[in-house]
Amino acid sequence: MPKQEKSTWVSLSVIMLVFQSLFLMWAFLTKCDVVFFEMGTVLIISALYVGVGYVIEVARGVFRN
Amino acid sequence: MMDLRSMWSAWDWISLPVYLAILLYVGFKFKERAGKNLESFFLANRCLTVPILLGTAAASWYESWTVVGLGTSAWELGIFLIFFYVAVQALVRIPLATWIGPYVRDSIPAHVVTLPDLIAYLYDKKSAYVGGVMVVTIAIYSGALLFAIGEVLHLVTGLPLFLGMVIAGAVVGIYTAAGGLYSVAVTDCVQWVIMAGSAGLAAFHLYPFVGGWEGLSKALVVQDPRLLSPIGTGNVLEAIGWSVSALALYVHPTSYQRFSAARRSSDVAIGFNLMQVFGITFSAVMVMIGLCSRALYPTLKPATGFWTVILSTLPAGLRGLFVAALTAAVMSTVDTEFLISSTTLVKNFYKEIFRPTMSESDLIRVNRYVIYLYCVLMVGLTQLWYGGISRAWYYIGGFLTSVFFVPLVAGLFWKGRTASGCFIALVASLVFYSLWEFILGQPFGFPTNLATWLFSALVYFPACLLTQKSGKAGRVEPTMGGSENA
Repeated sequence: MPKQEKSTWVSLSVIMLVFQSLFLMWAFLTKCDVVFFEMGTVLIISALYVGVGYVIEVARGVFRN
Repeated sequence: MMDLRSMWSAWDWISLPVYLAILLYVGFKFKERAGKNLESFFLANRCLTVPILLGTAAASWYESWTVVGLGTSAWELGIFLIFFYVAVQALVRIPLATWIGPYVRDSIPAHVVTLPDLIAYLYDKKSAYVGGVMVVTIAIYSGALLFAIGEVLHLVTGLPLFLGMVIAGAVVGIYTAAGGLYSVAVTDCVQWVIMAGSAGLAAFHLYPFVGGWEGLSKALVVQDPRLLSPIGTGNVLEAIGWSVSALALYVHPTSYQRFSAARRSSDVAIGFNLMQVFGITFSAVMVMIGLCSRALYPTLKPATGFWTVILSTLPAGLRGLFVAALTAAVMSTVDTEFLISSTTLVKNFYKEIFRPTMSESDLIRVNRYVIYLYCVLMVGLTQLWYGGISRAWYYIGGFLTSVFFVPLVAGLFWKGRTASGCFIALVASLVFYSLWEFILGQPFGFPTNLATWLFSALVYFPACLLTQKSGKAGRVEPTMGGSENA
């Protein structure tokens, strides 16, 4: 992966982390109903990302070394 | 009161043993590959990429305390936990994921495998031996995790508490001893899929169940209006104490093992930041369930109320999945702690002191026996947690951070560090913690973890500056049984 592309992905992951922390604080402070669905969606995406990602990585031979 | 056991169906009775059998199969599948050398056993030959790193780090880090402990703490403290633990933990860990993790992956030599190895590399062998106290701390915490699984199996299935703990401990011990980090990483990915998937579905089902924030707020105001305030029922010092315990990822051996096991440093940065995004969301769902249990079942014990909400909210089929998620949460943490503690004991103590010429194959063989012994010890230590585990991480995470954070993080970057300064700070902090917590009983209500953290910084930096002329400054090559692997 080129260095610039790596930096982009790292920056993106940090931005997501800051956004999610601030969003949770805002949602719990203002009692926003959207938080129920946002949390559910994020966690299901997380399960899919790890599940599908694992299958792809194993198919690419990540454990074969 | 709702009869939780009546909700446990025959299908759930089938799914749990099948799940445990799959974990054992994974352990034996990787037995040969993991047994090649210590690097393959402890670091899976440094092959972990972003999705696997994320799965294994998240499943190891967000465990039964996050599921039951955080939920029951929310029952007591309200949304305070979101502001002073859940969100804070994500923000304070950004430097760890973005800079420290990649630095450890790229700059620390391959033969630095365990956390005492790292302390020995940064300082000296003497300080590394003091670092071994982490093993004891982790053992006590693992007892809390096993207790959680025994308790939930007892509540929802009627299985005797002790038997549940023994079964869970035995399965984890067997697959960890067989497959090392290979089996831990693979099972962790499966476990995170179950944990995140079931918690995500629970979040959707909670909304109609409590009537959204409107219904939840109305019920909580009747109980205690402070539960809906950011400062909650806590105080400023307690808030800082919780925030300090959120820093524990900086000093936990699990973090450094996963950093070293990554394929590339960029995988560490991306994987660990994403892990935090998903992890804090998982924690927030547990806080929400804790709030719902306080609102709807205020007369029940917090843990019973928590499980009543879960089993009432989720439809049939998903209930078993959530219980499996807790089982997964415990196992994915306990397996890592078995692996790290046994490798530290064997590599950094047994080999170093009694058998310096020990071969790698013998080291792995002994390591496997120690995992089994550790497993028995864990079940015994569950006795300490029969009063409940809601404050387990506040104390254990707080202890680890307060004693080890300053020497470890400063040691990675500060050129003025000295071996003597580290040793003095570690010993002084351990003594101070015991004195403040057990003898003085937290004077002025000042939390022990916060007081010790400040004390550690006040001792470490002057001690390093004062001992720089003694010639002990700078990195000392590790001598704790690691150098031959280089």
